[in-house]
Amino acid sequence: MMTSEQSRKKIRIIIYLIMAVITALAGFYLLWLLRSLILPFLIGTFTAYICFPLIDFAKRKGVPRGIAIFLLFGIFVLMISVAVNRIGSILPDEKEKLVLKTRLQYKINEKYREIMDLNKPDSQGNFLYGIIGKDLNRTMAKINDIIALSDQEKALFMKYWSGYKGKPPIEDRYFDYFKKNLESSEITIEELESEELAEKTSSKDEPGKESVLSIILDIIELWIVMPFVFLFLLIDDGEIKRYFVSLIPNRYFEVSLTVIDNVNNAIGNYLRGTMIECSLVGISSTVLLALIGFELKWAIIIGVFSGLTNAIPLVGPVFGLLTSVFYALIVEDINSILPFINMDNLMFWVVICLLIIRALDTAVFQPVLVGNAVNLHPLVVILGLIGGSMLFGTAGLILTIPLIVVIRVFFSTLLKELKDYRMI
Amino acid sequence: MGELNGEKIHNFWGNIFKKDADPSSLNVTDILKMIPIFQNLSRRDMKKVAGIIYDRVYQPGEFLFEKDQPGAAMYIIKKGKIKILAPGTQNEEVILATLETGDFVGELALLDDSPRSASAMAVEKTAALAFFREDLNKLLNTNPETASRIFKELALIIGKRLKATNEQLFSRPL
Repeated sequence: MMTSEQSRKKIRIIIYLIMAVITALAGFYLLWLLRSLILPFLIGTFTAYICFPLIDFAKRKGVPRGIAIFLLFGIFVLMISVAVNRIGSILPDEKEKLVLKTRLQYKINEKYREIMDLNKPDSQGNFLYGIIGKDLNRTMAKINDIIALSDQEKALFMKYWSGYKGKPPIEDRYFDYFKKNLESSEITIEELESEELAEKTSSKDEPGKESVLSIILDIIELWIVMPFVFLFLLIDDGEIKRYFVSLIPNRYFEVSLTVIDNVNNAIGNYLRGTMIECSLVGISSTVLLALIGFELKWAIIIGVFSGLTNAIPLVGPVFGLLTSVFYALIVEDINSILPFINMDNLMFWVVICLLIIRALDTAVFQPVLVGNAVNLHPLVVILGLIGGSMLFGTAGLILTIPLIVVIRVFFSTLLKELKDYRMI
Repeated sequence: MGELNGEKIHNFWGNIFKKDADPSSLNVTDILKMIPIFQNLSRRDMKKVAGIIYDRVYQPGEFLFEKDQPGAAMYIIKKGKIKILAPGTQNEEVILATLETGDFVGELALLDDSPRSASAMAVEKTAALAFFREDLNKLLNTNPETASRIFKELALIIGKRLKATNEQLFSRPL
């Protein structure tokens, strides 16, 4: 016979199970509905994690918690506004983008011709070209397809060349590059100057302006969550944790708190370590690239990009390398303080710089700051990156690996503690 | 007329000034004052500690912690009764002590996560306060003075115990 206590316990378990399933389903549904908010939420959370020791430091120095949070939040908002402002002004505008693409296409083709010895009239190319020339030509055609300006962009280029939107005209040498690039294209300068395409580009301008405004509003609406998550997590003085801990049965009370604390520490250390590591990689890139003669603006852009992508294991450094190499490819002149660096050996020095940065990161920054928390299987990294970029685009590409590391740390700590407490 | 510390006093004033003898009806700060580890803390520090302590309720037969598990927290009995159990030579359960309201147990867990030397089980419905090592370590980071006072008291308690053990050991005939 089942006693009333046993039957009550059974009913209790069933009710708990049903509630857990309903809550999990509702949670997943809600998460799916609010999936666009996940990214700002994650960034707000990660930033708060990075800032927790600063609050502790302020408290240790006698600064009241409220004032410390107020100051940190002020700095956070200020940094975002400055970053948005500066990035907006430092990033290439429409005209600069067109010029950059044109330069890139021209320089890649020029380098290809140079390496394959195709520049001389009636040249049959070098030995390598003789063997795999056909395959290489096909590959180059594909690369040209990818980086070439679209017909509308070409028409827009023409407009900017003769002066458009109050901007100074595009330099003649870049127009020469443009003409050279057009040789492999089906469209001619005359066709580009025809009214049809010009109309197309100008008719695109008006709705474009509206859509930019609506995009900005959408972004603000979405990203406004981030500072609030950041503030909320800083204000919380353990109340969220206490609430969840109060729901945990006594049997799992100690183990749960141990897991929460260990996971908290591990995630905090990993995120702070990664942030400092990425910053150091970014700063090293900027300094070294500026040293070998990159224009400071571009050294900063490439440095920031290399630092951000450095959070992605395996693939991140490749992005940094590619950006630097592309810039070295399109740069017209350099102004290095080191006299032995010139246009002819620039690419060599770019590679040397990147090797120094990689060596520093692998031998010093990563072991000291992050430890081995990031030792993920390459397959997990690749699948994570594909999934992350499919869901959240570029930001997903950067944030997926930290998120995977956080999940991995959580489960490994949970299993370790459950074993230590002899529960499994 | 009422009675306080053996002195007869007026009922009205007696009700106002008389200390509540039952810790279960006291708030967390008042209970902490009864525990030697926290006795030297100021009222402000005591409030800080009260803010990081967890309130738990155990049913009769429920374990606060079990032998050989890693120690993570010290427990203060707010109300109720627990027994400290350890396996005997025949593997039978031996009751080492019975602790009641106002007592504390597992204070060594505040130092490290060495395995518990015995189990603690609620004999009756017991309300306990749990103070975690990790929270004490965080306190050391944010309020070093408060945390050092706690550690000092803990060291004194352990020192006294060591002294008592030594005395017991030397008083035994060789």
